[in-house]
Amino acid sequence: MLKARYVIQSKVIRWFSTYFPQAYKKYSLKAALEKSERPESALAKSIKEAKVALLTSSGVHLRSDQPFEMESDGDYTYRTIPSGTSDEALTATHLYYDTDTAKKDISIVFPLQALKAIHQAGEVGEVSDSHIGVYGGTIKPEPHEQTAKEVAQILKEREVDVLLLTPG
Amino acid sequence: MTTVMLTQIPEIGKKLQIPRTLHVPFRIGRPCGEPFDMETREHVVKKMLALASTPSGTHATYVTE
Repeated sequence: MLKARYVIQSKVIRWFSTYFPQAYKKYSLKAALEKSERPESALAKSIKEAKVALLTSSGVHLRSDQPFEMESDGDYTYRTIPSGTSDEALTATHLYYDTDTAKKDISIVFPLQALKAIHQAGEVGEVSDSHIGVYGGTIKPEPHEQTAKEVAQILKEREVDVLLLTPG
Repeated sequence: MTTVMLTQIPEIGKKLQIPRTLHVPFRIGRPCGEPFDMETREHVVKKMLALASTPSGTHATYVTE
């Protein structure tokens, strides 16, 4: 059960993002950590030969997993999501967007079944056997840098060629 | 590894130096479209996959079909 302070904070921010989306986006942009260099990467094969994984910052995780911690500066851990997981086995824990709707249809933030359907149609080489969920509702962006390194290592070990990132 | 990020804030691609972004026009909390609209879901993922083959620094906008 969330403390009253966080319930109120969540309702206020969700209301703000619904009725003042431009102001909300401006605030989010201001909070983002500015980078000076852009990573250069080029896909060395066709998408029909590539292995693809998903990463979402929308707080998606298995229902059986530990939910993300919301009553603090944030949760910088990650959850792995096996590719065979059904949408019904997933949920979303996040303070700052409408998770009630995402819980009815998780694909609005985590389109795993769509990716698998595209693969079934022969338009993607392979779907990674696991995907990643993180919590984007954090106060500080910096601790995510370490998480990103750990997640990148996991994806590298799985020989993922393309990573698709979705927000909440 | 090549990354493609879905975003609802187009300016974020430049500020964070994200290699490839797809700006979507959907509501906050619904970056892949409205609930149970699987057709849009597939379109969004296909657009992201198409961007994977573009040079780093490509920022595209999703056009509703």
